[in-house]
Amino acid sequence: MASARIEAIGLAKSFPGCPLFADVSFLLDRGILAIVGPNGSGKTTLVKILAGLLAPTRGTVRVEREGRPLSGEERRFSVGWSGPDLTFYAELTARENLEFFRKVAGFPTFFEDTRSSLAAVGLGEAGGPVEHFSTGMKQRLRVAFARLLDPAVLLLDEPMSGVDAAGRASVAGLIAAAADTGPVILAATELGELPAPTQVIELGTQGSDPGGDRFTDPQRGQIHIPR
Amino acid sequence: MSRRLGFFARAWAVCAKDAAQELRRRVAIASIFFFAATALALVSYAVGPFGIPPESRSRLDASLLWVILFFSAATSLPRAFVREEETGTGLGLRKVAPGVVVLAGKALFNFLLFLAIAALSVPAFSVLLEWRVRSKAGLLAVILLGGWGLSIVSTFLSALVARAGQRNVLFLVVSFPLLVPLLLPAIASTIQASEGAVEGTPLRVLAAYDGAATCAAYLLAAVAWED
Repeated sequence: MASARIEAIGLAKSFPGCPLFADVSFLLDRGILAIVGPNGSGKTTLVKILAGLLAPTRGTVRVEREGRPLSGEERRFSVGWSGPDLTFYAELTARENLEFFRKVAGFPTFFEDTRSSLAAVGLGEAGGPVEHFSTGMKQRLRVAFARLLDPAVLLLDEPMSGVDAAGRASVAGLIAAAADTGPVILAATELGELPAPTQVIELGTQGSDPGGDRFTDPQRGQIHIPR
Repeated sequence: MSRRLGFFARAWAVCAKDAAQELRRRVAIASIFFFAATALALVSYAVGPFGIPPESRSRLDASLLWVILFFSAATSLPRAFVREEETGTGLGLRKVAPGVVVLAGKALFNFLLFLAIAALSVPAFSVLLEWRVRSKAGLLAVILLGGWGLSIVSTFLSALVARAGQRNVLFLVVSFPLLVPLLLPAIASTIQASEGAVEGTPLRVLAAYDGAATCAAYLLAAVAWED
C-alpha cells in the first residue's frame, strides 16, 4: 500500500426519526482503527460513509495518498471496502466477479493477478458460480473484493463473519500486513480474533434497546477512545 | 498500476456482464423471445381474417410492428438497474464505477437486446403479414434510432426508480409520457419506409429525441444512481 491517511471530522448520521451517531472524529495513517458497538449502533453506516458509499448528515472525510488529497474516482479506488451487504453476481464465478469489478473500475485484468487475489483468501481452487458458495466462501470473496484495486486505505466491516478457523487466520494475516503499511479500519461487534487495534471508536448502545429512548439522545454513548 | 481502461471499455464490461448473466439464466431471454413470437402469431391471426390488402394497411402494420417490438423489449428494459438493487449487487458496482459508466453499459446491453428482438421479429412480421418495405435502409435507420431512444430512456428510468418503493408501478407511470413522443415518430417513419422513402420531420424528431435523451442521461446518471 502507498502511504496514505484517512481523517474523519465531526461525522454525524441520522435517518429520518433515527439519529445514529454524532461527532465522530479520528485521524489514521497506519495501523488499525476498530469501530465497535452493538447491533444497530451505526458501525456499518459509518464504514459506508468512510468508503464514500453514503453521505454523512454532517462532517467530512478526507483521504490522502502520498500527501495529496484525493477526490472523485481516485478516492473511489483508493479506499477498499467490504461489508456484510456486499453481494456478488450469483451466475458468475469468483474469478469472473473480480475481473468484472476490476474492468468496470477501469483496470485491465490479468489471470495471475486474479488468481493470486483469490488464493490470498483461500479461494484459489474455487470454481463454479458464486450462487453455490458457502457463507464463509462469500465472506472470503468480500475480503478479496476490498483488496482488489490495491487500495491505500482498507475498510472491512465484520471481516470474520461466517469464516472458519483457517479463513480467520488468512484474513487476520492480510489485515496485519495491510496495517503495517497503511490505515486499516475494522468494524466488528466483538474484536475477537482480529489483530489488536491502535485506536478504538465505540459507538452507542441506543440501537440495542428498541424499546428504550433510542431516538432522544443521539450523543449518548458516543465514546472516542484514542489509544 | 497499469494503464487505465477508457470509458467505452468499462461500459462494455458492464454490457458483457449483463449478457453473461442473461444467457446463463436463460429464462429471461427465453421469455422475451417467447413473448415476441406469441405476439407475432396473435397479430397475424387477428389481422388475416379482415382481408385487408397489404398495400392498404401500412399504417396498421407499422403500429403493430412497434407494439410487438416495444412490449417484447419492455419485459427486459426496466430490469437494468432494478435487478442490481434487488439482488444487492448495486453496492459493489457503485463502489467501483461511476453511474455514467454503468448506465452506458446497461443502455448498450438493452440496445443490443432490442436489435436482436428486431432482427428476429421484423422478418417474421414481413412473412406472416405479407408486409412489404420499399426502403429497407430507411427502416434500418428507424429501428436503430428508435431502439437507441427506447434503450437509453428506459435504462435511465430504471436507474432513477431502482431504489424507490413501488418501483415497477413508478417505472410504468414515468415511462409513458417519455416514451410516447419516441414511439409516434418511430411509427410515422416506419410508415414512410414501407411506402418508399423515409424523409423529413419524423426521422429528424427521432434523431433529436435520441440526442436529447442521451445528453440528459449522461448528465443525470450520477444523480440517478449514486447516493
